[in-house]
Amino acid sequence: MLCQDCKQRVATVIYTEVREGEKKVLHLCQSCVEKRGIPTPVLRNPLQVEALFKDMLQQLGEEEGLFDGGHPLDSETCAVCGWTFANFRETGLLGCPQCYAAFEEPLKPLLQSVHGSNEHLGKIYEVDEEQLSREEDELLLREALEEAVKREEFEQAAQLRDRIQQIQKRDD
Amino acid sequence: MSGRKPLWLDASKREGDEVIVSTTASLTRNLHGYNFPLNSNEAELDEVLDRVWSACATVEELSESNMVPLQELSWEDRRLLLERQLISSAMVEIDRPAGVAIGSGEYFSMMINDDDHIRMQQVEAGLVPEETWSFLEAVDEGLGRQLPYAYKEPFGFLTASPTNVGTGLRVSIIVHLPALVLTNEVETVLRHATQYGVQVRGIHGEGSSVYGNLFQISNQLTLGRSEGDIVKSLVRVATLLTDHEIEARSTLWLQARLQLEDKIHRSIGLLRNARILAIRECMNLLSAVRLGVNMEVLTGVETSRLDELMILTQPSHLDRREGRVLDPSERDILRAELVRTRIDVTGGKGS
Repeated sequence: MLCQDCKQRVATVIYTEVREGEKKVLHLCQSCVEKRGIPTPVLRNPLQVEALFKDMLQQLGEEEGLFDGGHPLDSETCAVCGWTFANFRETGLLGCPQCYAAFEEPLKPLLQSVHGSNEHLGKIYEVDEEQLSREEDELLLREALEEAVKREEFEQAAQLRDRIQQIQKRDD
Repeated sequence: MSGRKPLWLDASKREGDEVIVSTTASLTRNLHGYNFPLNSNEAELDEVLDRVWSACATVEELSESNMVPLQELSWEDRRLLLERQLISSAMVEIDRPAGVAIGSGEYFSMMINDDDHIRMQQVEAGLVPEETWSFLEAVDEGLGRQLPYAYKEPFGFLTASPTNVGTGLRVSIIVHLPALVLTNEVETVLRHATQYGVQVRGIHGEGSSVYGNLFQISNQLTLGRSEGDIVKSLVRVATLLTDHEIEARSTLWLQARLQLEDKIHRSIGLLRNARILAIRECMNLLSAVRLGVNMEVLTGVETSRLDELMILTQPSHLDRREGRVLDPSERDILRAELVRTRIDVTGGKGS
């Protein structure tokens, strides 16, 4: 992720400051750490990007000011695999490739902080466009189905289920 | 599973290899239409395993690979693969359909159904990030023609952890920095290296008590940088570290030659004669001898043999040699014996 001070270089230090009983976590690059005059034994805590990322996910809950450490998006669910945002915050892992679409909104700023970018550069993989759009339809239908079940509109739910099954049949 | 040495260690050493031990490129891929392994059921994982293996069979580069279902491997076999860095530590424990493919000579390996569906890696001696990456690229192209990869703009190749998304490429280089450790400059130099977007960790031991003076550097970011840029940045950092290490070696030579020679000769003396060797001591002595060979203080010992001993003296490798699980004191005795008989090119010179 990027340094919170200069917002340019990669953060390589997690600095926890406790002042008057309040804990504050800073993600900084080495230059900004030196600017602030913070002593850092680098190898005592070799920083791995996974550790940084997990720490950031945890903070996400704290920043929202919720005392139970929860996050307003925790109950959001990926319609394809059933993975929740809470699952993601706990493990740092997503449930399926479609989770990237399901959690796109909260993911983008996270990716921006971790990688300093949220757009892929490099090898391009040709995907079957038709297949992809069918699946996006399926995703939308599944979300609509969930909604319909919640509202107890069972007739509409049954119709949606039929359409999903049709798409799946075509895939096979 | 054999406890023999991996062939890649035999690669004829190139220039600059006195500091760079090896280069590993690893690439993460997932299949479209399947949940990531941790959120998957047994049937789905079996299907992924089957599909990946059938695809591997069509890739020319993998024609001599050995494909093994993880469930057929004992805990000891898995530990051995871990010490050879062919599988992850998580894969030692998992009990779900998963597999490992190992190419001839152990240059190439692939984990199936670890955190991601596919994680393949290529390791070679010396500083060769372009070569290791281009090998993986060829395998990747071959597999990508057979398998539907999970790929979506603007994120690129999708991975279970967003820390690998984008290229899915991680290049890591193992560097041997004994002189920088001796001159107490290693922390400053490695700290400087992190400014180039690389992460650093000691290979053996934790935190400040790193032993063997071996460090691994790898790219921190996978998104927003092309594969070529990732490779280039690692070469830059590796070159920088090599320059610093060589400089520290000449400083030592000029300012403390006698102490340095003393340390190196004592180390080879201990390795040739010790009857009990703990792993930590052994690694540190091998490191000092490697420095001695690089600086031409010692002759008759080859660095590839020292690198090989750093692997063969690990606990599971010793267990394999004896055919049973040893206790730590038994291992220390066997380790000393193994080092004694193998350290010299001409065979055991020890008394």
